[in-house]
Amino acid sequence: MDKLLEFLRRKRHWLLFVVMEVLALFVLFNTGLYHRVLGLTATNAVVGRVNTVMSQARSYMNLREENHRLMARIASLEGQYMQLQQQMSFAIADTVRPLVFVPDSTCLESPKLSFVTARVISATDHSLDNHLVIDKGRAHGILPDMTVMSDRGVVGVVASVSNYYAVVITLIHPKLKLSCRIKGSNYVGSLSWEDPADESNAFLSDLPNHAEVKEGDTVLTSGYSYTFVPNLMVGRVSSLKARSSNRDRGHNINLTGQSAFSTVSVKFATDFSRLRFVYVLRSTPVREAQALEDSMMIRNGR
Amino acid sequence: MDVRKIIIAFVAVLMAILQPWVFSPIYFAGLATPFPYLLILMLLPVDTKQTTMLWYGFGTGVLIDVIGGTPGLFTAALTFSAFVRKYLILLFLDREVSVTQPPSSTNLRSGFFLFLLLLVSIHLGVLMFLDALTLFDALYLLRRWGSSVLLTYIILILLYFLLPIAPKKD
Repeated sequence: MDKLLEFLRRKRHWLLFVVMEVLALFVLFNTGLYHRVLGLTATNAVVGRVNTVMSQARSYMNLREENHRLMARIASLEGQYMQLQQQMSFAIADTVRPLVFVPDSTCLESPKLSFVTARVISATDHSLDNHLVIDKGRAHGILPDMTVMSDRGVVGVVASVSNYYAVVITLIHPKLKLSCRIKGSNYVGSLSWEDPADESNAFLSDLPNHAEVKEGDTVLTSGYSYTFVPNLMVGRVSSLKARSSNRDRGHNINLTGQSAFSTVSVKFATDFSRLRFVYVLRSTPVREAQALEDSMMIRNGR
Repeated sequence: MDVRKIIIAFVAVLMAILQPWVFSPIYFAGLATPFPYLLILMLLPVDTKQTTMLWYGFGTGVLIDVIGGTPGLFTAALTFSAFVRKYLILLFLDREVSVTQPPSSTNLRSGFFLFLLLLVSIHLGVLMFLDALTLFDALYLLRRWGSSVLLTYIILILLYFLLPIAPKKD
């Protein structure tokens, strides 16, 4: 302490000099406008630069924390985005009215149909066992044999149901045959799909040979089914030429042939490779009629 | 009180009055302004304590600023000059000379004139820098500084020879 005091005593002229200079400069920079402005400018420039450097340093030091915070924020926003996206998809799907019933002069009254919108959670379209799995089941009123539509046309039929899921056999399944007719006429044929390499086209066979069919004609469900109500959109005639295998098998030939029946190619209205949402028609399956027919067949068989 | 100190104080007050009213308005050749108040730094003995020197410089500066309406400007410059005076003298001072006398050609010999030139240059340099603060016209500032240093230096030399400042040689 004594040494410090002694040092200060010896160098007191330095202390006095600093005090006097500071006092003089303080007065200089705080009284005259010119010097005050210059002083403020210089001070601001220096302080601003120091603040910038300090701010950058602080930002750099806080980058890890900031990064964690941003990652958490991104995760939160991603979750919200996915939730909104899903809600939006369902909302859009609910606003699309499926093209299920095509008015026709042969059908005076349109059936009252209600739908359950379901999301496709699994689909196969390149095998001989094509089917869909949808995220609605018995708990949502889905029952076996209900018709499944897309916003374009018929997709298939509900095959089995659990509480919250259902399996749908699609039209591109070789075992599913659908009775169809050409719109504007009562000519009925049987629609079937056989070619795993082509999931967009099927064959409408057993059409009367004299039927007037043109390419582009609309193909609808005929209603001769316990599952599908009439006049549901199925597709359009894409070609009048019959497949050679059918000709070879002697089932049908083309419309100008001598066979009693003919076959046309039908392009599905539904794109089975792009199905995201489907609509299950909550029509009551005509189980009673089917049971009656079955009992008749058993009785006749006996 | 020592008569010498009274005389120096009187000279300091006189110079402080004359500077803003008489000398500062002078712009010789549009550039040079005389600052003869530096005379007081020549009147104090070489061995004057630094604190005393500082008080002289500070006091004279305050007086000039108060009269001239330039608060802080002359105070800062003259305090600084008073502080460096000792270190400038030490550059030229011989060991075997009297330090109780003011700096002169007697104790500093020919170094006195260089000392005086350095003192004037430093003082006016600080003064003009503080006055301008920005070197927005460095050439003008340099010319003004050079011409003012020359004019002040000549005046101080004249005063040195005309006034009984220099001690008589033994």
